[in-house]
Amino acid sequence: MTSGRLREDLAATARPRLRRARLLPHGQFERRVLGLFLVLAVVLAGTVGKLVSIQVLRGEHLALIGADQRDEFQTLPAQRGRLYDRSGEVLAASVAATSVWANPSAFRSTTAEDGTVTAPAQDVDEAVRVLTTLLGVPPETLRERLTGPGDFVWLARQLDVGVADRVAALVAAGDLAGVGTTPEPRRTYPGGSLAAQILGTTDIDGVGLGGMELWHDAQLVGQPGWQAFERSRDGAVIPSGTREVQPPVPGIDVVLTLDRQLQYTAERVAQETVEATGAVGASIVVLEVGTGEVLAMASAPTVDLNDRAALEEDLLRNRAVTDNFEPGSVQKAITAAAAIEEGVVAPDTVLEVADSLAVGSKVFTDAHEHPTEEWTFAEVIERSSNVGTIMVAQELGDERLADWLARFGYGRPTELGFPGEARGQVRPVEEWWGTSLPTVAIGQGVSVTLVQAANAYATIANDGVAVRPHLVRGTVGPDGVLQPVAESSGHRVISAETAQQVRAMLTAVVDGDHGTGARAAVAGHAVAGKTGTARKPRTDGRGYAGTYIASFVGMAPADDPELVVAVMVDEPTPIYGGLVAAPVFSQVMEEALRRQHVESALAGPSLETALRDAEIARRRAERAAAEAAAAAAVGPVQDALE
Amino acid sequence: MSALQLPRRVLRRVATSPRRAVAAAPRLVVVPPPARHPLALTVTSLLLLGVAVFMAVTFNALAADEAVHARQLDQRLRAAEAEYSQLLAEVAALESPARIAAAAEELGLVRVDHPRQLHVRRLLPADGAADVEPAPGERTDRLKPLLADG
Repeated sequence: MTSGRLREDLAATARPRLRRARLLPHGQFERRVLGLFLVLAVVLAGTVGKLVSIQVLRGEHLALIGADQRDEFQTLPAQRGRLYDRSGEVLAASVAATSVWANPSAFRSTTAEDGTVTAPAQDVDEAVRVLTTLLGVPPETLRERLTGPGDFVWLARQLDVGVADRVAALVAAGDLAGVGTTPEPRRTYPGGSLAAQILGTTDIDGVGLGGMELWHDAQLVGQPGWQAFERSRDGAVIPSGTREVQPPVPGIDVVLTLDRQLQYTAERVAQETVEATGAVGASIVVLEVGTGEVLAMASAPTVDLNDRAALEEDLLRNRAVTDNFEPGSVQKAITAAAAIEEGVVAPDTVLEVADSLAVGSKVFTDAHEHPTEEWTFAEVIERSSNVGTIMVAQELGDERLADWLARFGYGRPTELGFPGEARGQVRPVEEWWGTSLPTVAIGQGVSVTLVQAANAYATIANDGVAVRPHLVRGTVGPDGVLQPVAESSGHRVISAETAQQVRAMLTAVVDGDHGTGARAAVAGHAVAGKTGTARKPRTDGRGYAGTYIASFVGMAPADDPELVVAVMVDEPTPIYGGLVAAPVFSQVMEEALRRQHVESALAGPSLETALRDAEIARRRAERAAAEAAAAAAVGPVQDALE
Repeated sequence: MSALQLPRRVLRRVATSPRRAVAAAPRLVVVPPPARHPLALTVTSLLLLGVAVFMAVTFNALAADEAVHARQLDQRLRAAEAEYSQLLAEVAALESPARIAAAAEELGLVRVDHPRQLHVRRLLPADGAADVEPAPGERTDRLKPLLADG
């Protein structure tokens, strides 16, 4: 296209416009422009007005409505901390589960103000038919919940994820309107009844109700998180929408001092004893000497923690900590320790012991009739003579005996820290009367918990140094590192010499010719301990009932104890500690020594030790032979050089 | 390329117009408009706009894809954690002493009164059991259990 041609085209295009403009009547163009401006102004004003209305006047309200339709907020439950035994075996854990809920209003027909009746969103019969199979809930229960008042009701809680997924699929397919699912972790106890009274349990909402679950609830519970995101009208998540996540903080794990296998053995033996003797209950405590760690704490009867319907307060009672009992002759070791420490008596002090002794208005007798005999104090303890012990206690006196009971931890909690720990009962010495001293000296009229008794014996086992017993080894945070609890420094109660003398006397109780605790013997180990058979006081506090507590508390190996085991059997038949509690001690102590790898000092070296010694000897011999051969080879060369 | 240019006589007339000469102190000169290419400009603009829209859509899609991916990873992580907890509990239940004892009884095993156990210890340098040095020239595998050695 040439420039001349272009110019002509432009001119031709321009000319008609100029002509049309000239044809408009005078002022019409301005009027049109003005009209157009007015129209635009009105439209603009309307737009601005609407904007003001939306953004300013109703902005907050509309934003809320929009957010309500679009925004989704979910709570992310925190993983409750686990409970481990001393080796890291899981005792309690939380697993993923899902709960199913319903909105009963979706199952109700509604009537509007104008009388229009709207059918329910979901047919009750159909929902009941589908859900009763899936959830395993009786149809009548489901119907009652679905047709009840309100807008929310749980249908089933903490189901396996698979079941909940099937419900969720039905909901997503639109076959179950008014029903929903929500994640809700379930607490599970892999051992079932193992350490049930120690672990305690939680309610269905995961709040600790007893035992460790209650005691360490603040650490275990964690911090729930949340997530906010946007959903479209059809319920799909908008990928590019706003999304905020506050992840949950899991609870802290708690590592106990319990040994799972030993705990199982103790519980098994306790349960077998209850069944064999018809006892009301039995408790066993295993303490590690020196550290105060509770390796086992069993109570029978027990209950499966996973069976919520069977959980009863009585079965969840940690008898070793919450129940006071009169220790009976087990107390004589404490009386003996006090008397020896005070210099009142020595193990070889000879006493003239009759089989009965009148103190005030009451006559105390030994368990068996015998003529008046001369026994050493060690024999008094070996034979568990009430009369001989009372004679020594009378030399000791009220004040000093009461003082020593307090030093051994009687009358106050052991600082174990377990919920509901009893303190035992020791009447203030000012309130003692004529028969208080003799009764207390032989373990009546005074009560302790089994943990207190075990701890008192652990003091004797630990050469006179008391260490605070404890059940928690430490905690494990998100970093996975065990944070051990602060160790108790311990304090001296009696001298090491006194402790050793008492241990020697207690050893005679088990292996002596007249000892009452022969059934407590453990093959391959020397055992020291004391039997106890105590009458139970009446529940109204007036005198004693015709029932008994059988007990045995002891330690092993006797010369350098590593473990203390305390056994208490409530109302057994037969009643004697030597017959009922001592065998229990033997079984549990044997397992405890094996678990702690305590080698027998009586039966020669173990196979492991023998093999190790043989290996060491073989290598030493080989090394010596090699060195000799090397020296033989070097010798001629040196001779030649010289 | 062509540009709109008025005939010279017109330009001359305008330039020599007495009215203009009087009114305007500086002489006005009609400057030829810059060369323009409407079609290319339009095409370029459309291309740029298209590219911009494409990039915006692509970026948005990529962001959405990453968001979906992140959500999926988050869900997988949570599912894996839940599965780990579940498996941990199942293993603990399977290892439960009561279950093992029951299974052993079912298999006909009986409990003995005084069981003995073998504790196999490893010859580790830090292990107190390995307090013997190897003989000169001896080939030792200190990680093998003592009972398997030799």
